[in-house]
Order: sequence, then structure tokens, then C-alpha cells
Amino acid sequence: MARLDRRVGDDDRVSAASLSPDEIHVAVSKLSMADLVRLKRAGAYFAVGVGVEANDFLNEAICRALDGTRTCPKNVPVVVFLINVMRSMASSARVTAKESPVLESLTSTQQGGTSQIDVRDLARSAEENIVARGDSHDRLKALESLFADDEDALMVVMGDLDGLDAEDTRALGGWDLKAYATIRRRMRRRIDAKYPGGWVQ
Amino acid sequence: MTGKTMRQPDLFSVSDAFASDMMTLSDERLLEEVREDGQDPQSIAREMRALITAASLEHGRSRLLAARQALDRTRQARSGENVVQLPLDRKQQILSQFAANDGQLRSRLTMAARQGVGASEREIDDILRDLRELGAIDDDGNIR
Repeated sequence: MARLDRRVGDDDRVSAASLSPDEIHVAVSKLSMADLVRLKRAGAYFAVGVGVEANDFLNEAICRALDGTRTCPKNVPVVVFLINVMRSMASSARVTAKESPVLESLTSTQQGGTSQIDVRDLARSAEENIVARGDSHDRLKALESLFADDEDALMVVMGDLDGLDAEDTRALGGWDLKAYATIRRRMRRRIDAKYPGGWVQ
Repeated sequence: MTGKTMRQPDLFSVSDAFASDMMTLSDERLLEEVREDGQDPQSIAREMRALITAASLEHGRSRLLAARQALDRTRQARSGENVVQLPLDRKQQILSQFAANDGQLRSRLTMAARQGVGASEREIDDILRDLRELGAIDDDGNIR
């Protein structure tokens, strides 16, 4: 299998080194069974994070590839490219929805007075923010309860939530590579069973 | 001033970690996992192919629509070109017919005549293009 861990930057531009939409079409139609399964599952994972249905997410990624909105470098396998398109979409959706807002409370105690300024998301109404955060909160709670009886899995989720890389998470839990892979497999099994089509409520 | 940051949990990083697993698993291991989960990889592949085909068809329709719109725009831009290819006396005849009933056009032509230059062919062509665009005449200069 070709190297799959290459990520495509958001600022990739159309160039001679990129596949044309027609070439994308051909490449996508030739994806292997394993790559199609990869796409399906990666789409479902990103869809859970964003709170949408997996097929909608996948469909949008494919459309963006076919219409040339996103371009695939010729040296990147098309399955990797499509997964990266979905990653980019999920990342953008997170920013748009302010799913993980950094709420800064700046407390000033100068001159004996205390004032608190909350840096809020001004692009959304207060009501929209509550709904978005509530939905994100619900998904997080659902994820926690999914692994409630598995302390190792919960620790890995916490590591992911904190943005730790796999090595740091392994060190934190004191797991070797094999034990860590076993935990992740257990987690995938549960999440795949619970959310095969993304966040469908 | 003191500052503190309260970071909310980031579900994206959890999703990303699971998706990255998909990138690192071998084909064999991935398909084995799917079968262990009681799913049929071929069925998933069929579903995905159907989704890709549907997206491709939709994209094809969009491209066709865009091409048709571009063609319409080109045709529209070219409309009026036939009429300016007519002989000058025919073009003058068309304008005369309009000038008889159109005070503004008559004034425009009269002004040019007073300046001793008459209406230049270029000016006549501009007027005919305007009339064609307004739908007042057809490509052959016939009044509608």
C-alpha cells in the first residue's frame, strides 16, 4: 500500500503536478475495496466530530474534488487526498461552529476595580452559540458514556481531546505499541458499531 | 491583569485520531476488522461506489449546465453581430424606419448630420446593436 500518512495542506493550488478533475474521476472510480472502506470509516469519524451524516460529508468531499475546488497532487494517493479534504472540512466546520471556542476571561484588577471581559464568538447569535455548544457537549457526553466502562479507552480519548500525539498518550498510560493498538482497536469497534453513519440521531 | 484560558474539549482531534488510524492500518488488517465487526467490506464498497457515481453524475450535470450557460452568454454577446454585417444602405434603411417613430433617435441622427459628418457607420452599428439587444429587431434587421 502506498504511503498514507502524507497530509495535504489547505493551500494546495492547481498546477501541472495536480490531477485534473477528469483524472480525479478516473482515480476515484478505481479505488480498491479497502480504500473505499477507509473512506467510509474516516468520513464517519469526521462526521461524528462535526455532527452530520457521514454520507453527506463524503459526498461534499467528492464534489469538491471533482469540481476542482480542492486539487490532488499527483504524488498523493487519491484516498489520502479525499480523507484530507474531509479533515479540512471538519477543521473548517469546527472553526465556523466555534465548537471548541477558547473562551478567555480576562480579569482586570487594576486600580482596585474588577472587570471581566468574555471574548465571545461575535459571528453567531447567543442562541446559535448555545445550540452549537449544546450539540457539541451532547456528542462529547455520548463519547464519554460510550467508553465509560473502559478506563484505558477513556484515557486515550482524553489524550486525543487534549491534542496529545500517540507517543505521549502511550507514555501517559504506560502502554507499549501493541497494548496501545489493542486499545484503539477496541475503541474503533465501539464507535463503528455506535456511529456507522456518522452523527445520526 | 491576570489572564486565564478555559479550553473546551475538541472533538475534531478525537475524530482526526480515528481517521488517522485508517491511514496507518494495512488493507488486510482493515478488512479483517470490518469482518470482525460483522460487516461486509464488499457491501460497504458497493455503497461507496454508488455514492461516488451519484456525485459524479451530479457534477456532470452541473458541468453541462455551466457549459450551456456559457454558450448562451456567448450567443447573447454575438447577437447583433449579424445585423452589423448588412450592407450600409440596408442599415441606413433600418435606422430610417426607426427614426420616423423615435424622436430621440431622430435627434441623434440629426445632430450628427448638423455636424456635417452624418451618422458614421460605427455609430449606426452601435445603434443597431442596441436595437438588437433590446429585441426591437432580429438578426436580419427586421422590425419585430
